[in-house]
Amino acid sequence: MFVDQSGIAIENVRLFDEVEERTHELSRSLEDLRTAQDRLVQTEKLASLGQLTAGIAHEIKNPLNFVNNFSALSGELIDDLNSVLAGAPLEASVREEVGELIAILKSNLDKVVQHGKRADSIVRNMLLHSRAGSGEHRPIDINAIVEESLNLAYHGARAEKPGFNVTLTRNFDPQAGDVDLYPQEITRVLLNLISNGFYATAKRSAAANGAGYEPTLSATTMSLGDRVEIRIRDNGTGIPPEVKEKMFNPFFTTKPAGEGTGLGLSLSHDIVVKQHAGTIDVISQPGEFTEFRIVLPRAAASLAKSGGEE
Amino acid sequence: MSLLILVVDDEPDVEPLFRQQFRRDIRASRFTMEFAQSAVDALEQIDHAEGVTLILVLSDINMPGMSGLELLPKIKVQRPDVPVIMITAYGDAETKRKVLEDGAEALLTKPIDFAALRQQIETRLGMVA
Repeated sequence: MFVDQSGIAIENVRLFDEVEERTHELSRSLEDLRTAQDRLVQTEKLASLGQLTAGIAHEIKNPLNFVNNFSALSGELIDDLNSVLAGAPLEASVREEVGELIAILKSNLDKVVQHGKRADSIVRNMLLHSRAGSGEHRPIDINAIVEESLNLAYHGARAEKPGFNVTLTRNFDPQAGDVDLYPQEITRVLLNLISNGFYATAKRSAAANGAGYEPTLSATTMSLGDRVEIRIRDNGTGIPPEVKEKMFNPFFTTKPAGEGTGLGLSLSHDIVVKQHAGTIDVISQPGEFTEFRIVLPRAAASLAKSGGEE
Repeated sequence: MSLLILVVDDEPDVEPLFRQQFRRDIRASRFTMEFAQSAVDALEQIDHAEGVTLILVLSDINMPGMSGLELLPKIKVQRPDVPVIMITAYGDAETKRKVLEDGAEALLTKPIDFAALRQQIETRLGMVA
C-alpha cells in the first residue's frame, strides 16, 4: 500500500515535471510566433510606407530641381551684376549700400542652394527605397565586401572628422565564401551600420572625455552552411529600448537636424529583408555596446522577389 | 543662318531657366532657343523650322500625352540629321540603354548639370562652325 503510494507520488512528480517542461516549450514557441508576427507587421508597414514615401519623393523632386537650378543660377547672376556695377559711375555711399545688399542676397542664395541640396539628398534616399535590385547581382566574397566597407567607412569618417579614431577588429571566417547578392546595396547597408557604429563610439568618447575609453568596432563573418552571418559590433553609446522599437522606421533619427535623414536603417532593413530574403537584428546594452547581425542566404538575390518595381 | 536649339518639356519654367542660363550666348547670337511644352508641339515646330538650322533637340521624358520616349523615334524619322539629347529625373540603366538604342546622343539627369549640357552644346556648335 505504502509502496504503491510512493510509486504514484514519484510518477506524479515525473508527470508534473513533464507538464511543466511542455508548458515552457509552448510558451517559448508562442513567444517566437509573436516575434515573427511583430516582424511581419513591421515589414508590411515598412513596405507601404516605402511606397508612400517614394510617391511623395517623385512629386517633390521636380519642383525641388527648379528651386536648386534657379537658386544656383541666381547666384551666378549676382556675380554678373557685381561686375556690371564695378564699372558703373556711382556715389560712394550708394555703392557701399548696394554692395552690402548684394552680399546679403548672395549669402541668402547660398543658403537656399545648401538646403536645397540637403533636401535633394533626402529625396534621393527616399527614392532608393522604392527601387528593387539596382545594379546587377552576382556571387560576392563576403569577407572581401565587409573588408571593403570597413575601409570605405573608416576613411570616410576620418575625412569628415580629422580627430576621429577607432580600433577596427576583424574576425573573418575563412569558410564565409560567396553569396549571390547586389554588391552596391549590401555595401550601402554595411556602410550604414559601420558609420552608425562609428558615430556611437565618437559620441561615447566625447561623453567620456577620452578617459579610459577605447572606441572599438568589430566585424565578424561566419558561415552557417547555406547562410552567412555578418556581425557589426561597436562599444559605443548603445541603444535605449524605446529607440530600438522605432529605429527601422523611415525618418526616425536620433541625430541632430541636418546630420541624419532617418532613412539609413529603414533602407538597410528593406535591402536585407526584401531584396535579399535575409534577416537583420540588433542587440544592445545602453552605455556598453550595439551589435547588428545580418544573416543572408547564399542564394540571397535570386531567393528574393525578382524584378524591379518603380 | 541662325542656329536653333529646341527644348521640349511640359514644365513652363524650363523656358526662363534655360534662357537665363544661356543668356550670354543668346545675346551674342551664338544660337537661339525655342521651347515646346508637349511632344506634339515639338514635332510641329521641327516641321516648321525654316530659315534656321536646328542643331540640337533637348527633350524631357516624362510628359503627359506623348512621352519623350515616343517622341525620340519620331524626330529621328523626321530629321535623322538632328542630334537629340534626352533629359530625365530617373536615369536608370534601362532607360539609358533604350534611348541610346533609339538614336539619342545622351541621357542627362535632372537636376540638369548645366556644365555638362553646355559642353554638349559647344560640341554641336563646333560641328556646324
